[in-house]
Amino acid sequence: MTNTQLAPRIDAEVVDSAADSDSACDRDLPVLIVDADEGDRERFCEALRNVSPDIVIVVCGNLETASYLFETHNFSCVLLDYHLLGGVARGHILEYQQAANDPHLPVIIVSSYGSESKAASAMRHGAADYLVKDNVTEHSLRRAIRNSVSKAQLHRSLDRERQSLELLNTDLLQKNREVQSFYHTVSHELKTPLTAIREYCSLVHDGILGETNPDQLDAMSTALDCCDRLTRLVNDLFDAARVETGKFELNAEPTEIVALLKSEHEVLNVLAKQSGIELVLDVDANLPLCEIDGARVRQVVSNLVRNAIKFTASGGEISMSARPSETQGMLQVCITDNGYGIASEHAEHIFDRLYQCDPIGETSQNGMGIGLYLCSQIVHQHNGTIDVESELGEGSAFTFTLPTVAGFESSRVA
Amino acid sequence: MSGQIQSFRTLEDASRVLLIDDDPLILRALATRIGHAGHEVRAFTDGSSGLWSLNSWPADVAVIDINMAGLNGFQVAREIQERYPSCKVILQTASRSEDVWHQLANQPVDAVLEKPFDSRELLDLIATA
Repeated sequence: MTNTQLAPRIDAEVVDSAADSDSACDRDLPVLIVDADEGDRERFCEALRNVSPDIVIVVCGNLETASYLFETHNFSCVLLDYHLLGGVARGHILEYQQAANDPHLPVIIVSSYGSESKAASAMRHGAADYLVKDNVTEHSLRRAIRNSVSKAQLHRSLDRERQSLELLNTDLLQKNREVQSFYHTVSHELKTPLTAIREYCSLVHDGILGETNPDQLDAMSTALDCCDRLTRLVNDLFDAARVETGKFELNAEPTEIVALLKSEHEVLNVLAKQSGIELVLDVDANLPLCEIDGARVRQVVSNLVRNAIKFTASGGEISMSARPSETQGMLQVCITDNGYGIASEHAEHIFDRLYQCDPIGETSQNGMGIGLYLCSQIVHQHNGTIDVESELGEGSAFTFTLPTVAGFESSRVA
Repeated sequence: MSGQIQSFRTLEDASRVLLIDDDPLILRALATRIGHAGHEVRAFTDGSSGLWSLNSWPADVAVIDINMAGLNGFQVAREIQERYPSCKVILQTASRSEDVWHQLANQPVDAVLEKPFDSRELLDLIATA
């Protein structure tokens, strides 16, 4: 940048330059001074040169020239005469920054007016600093420029960080979609042949493909049970993946919890009887409607009761009960058994994802460590709580709460 | 099995059941089950053939898989609901994707079964159709 390059077209002047400067603004880019008063321009240049001999300064006397300079050059900061603007209004500073294509370009207002309100207004409208001409010294000028440029560098750095985080976030969202899609595909591909296996076993079991003897019937019953168990595992895996990717949603609606528990009891009682366990249903017929996702709550009840059956010896008893909770607007469901119980060191982690415990020393009974995790996620999504009380050898009591319709409505109003 | 007709003895309250699933193994098993229950079944592995059959064979119930190549289950269901409103539509799917359930909210059908299902549930739905 030289005088001869700029002078023929615009009234601007490079007053000093050096290649490797320790400039007032700690940058190689020049400072632009836009001031109509030649005397003030000279004064500012001299002040800057005295503290930073190598600083590059470009001066011009009007906004039009400054605008042109912005199109062709980058500046570390601008010293702008308040008088030229006729006051600093909203958008003035922004125009400069847009013209410079730098939203963080520091624009320092230099003014003949020592008014506090004008200074405050200028700062509010984006000025990096406000200096009163009569008070400008070499050091105050240097400090104002240095501080403004440092602040702008910080802003630019934050911008870069933000952009980098946005890119990272976009990348993670894409990976999230890919994981979700993968689990969806795996789930679909496992369940399709499982459907065929289950149906053919069922055809044999029901004697549709010919008569079966008792041993064959028993074998087919076992095969069907295994199909159903595998289906639950695949569904649990898929649900766990949805929880992990934030895609797990509820479809809550007013639901009769008593009817739901009765219907689950009917299904689960068959399993309990097969294991020689009594499954008791203890519910008050007048319980209020609950605002719940019925299918998901069935999943919780089924999971807890199936676990209880698994860890209760033949001759034991499991109870499914429901009553109003001590927490207003909530209902409490409890699954209690007199089975093997859970040691306290396991109980505190039992709802953790992939956590497994082995209360009876049979690793084959462990499962994947997903079922109770999903139960807790489903209950928490209903704004309920779930916990377990258990003593080794004495049995366990799993209790969870669900919102009643009235409780749900009042929480929405709140 | 596409386009092939399976005939079974019929009961007085038997229904005509159109079965569409691109998995021939599932199709054959379900057709056997439904036919054994006394209903008349026509089974197809693609939606277009199934829809075509309705021109000459008005079904009481259509049991359609959602995830199929070509016309998917929703497209077939929409055609049936528009052209044969008396025909009940039961969709079946192995998918648990939100997309499917959101689409179902916009395009209600008479019933949805998630695979694998107990075929007695399907027979109950057909009986009440």
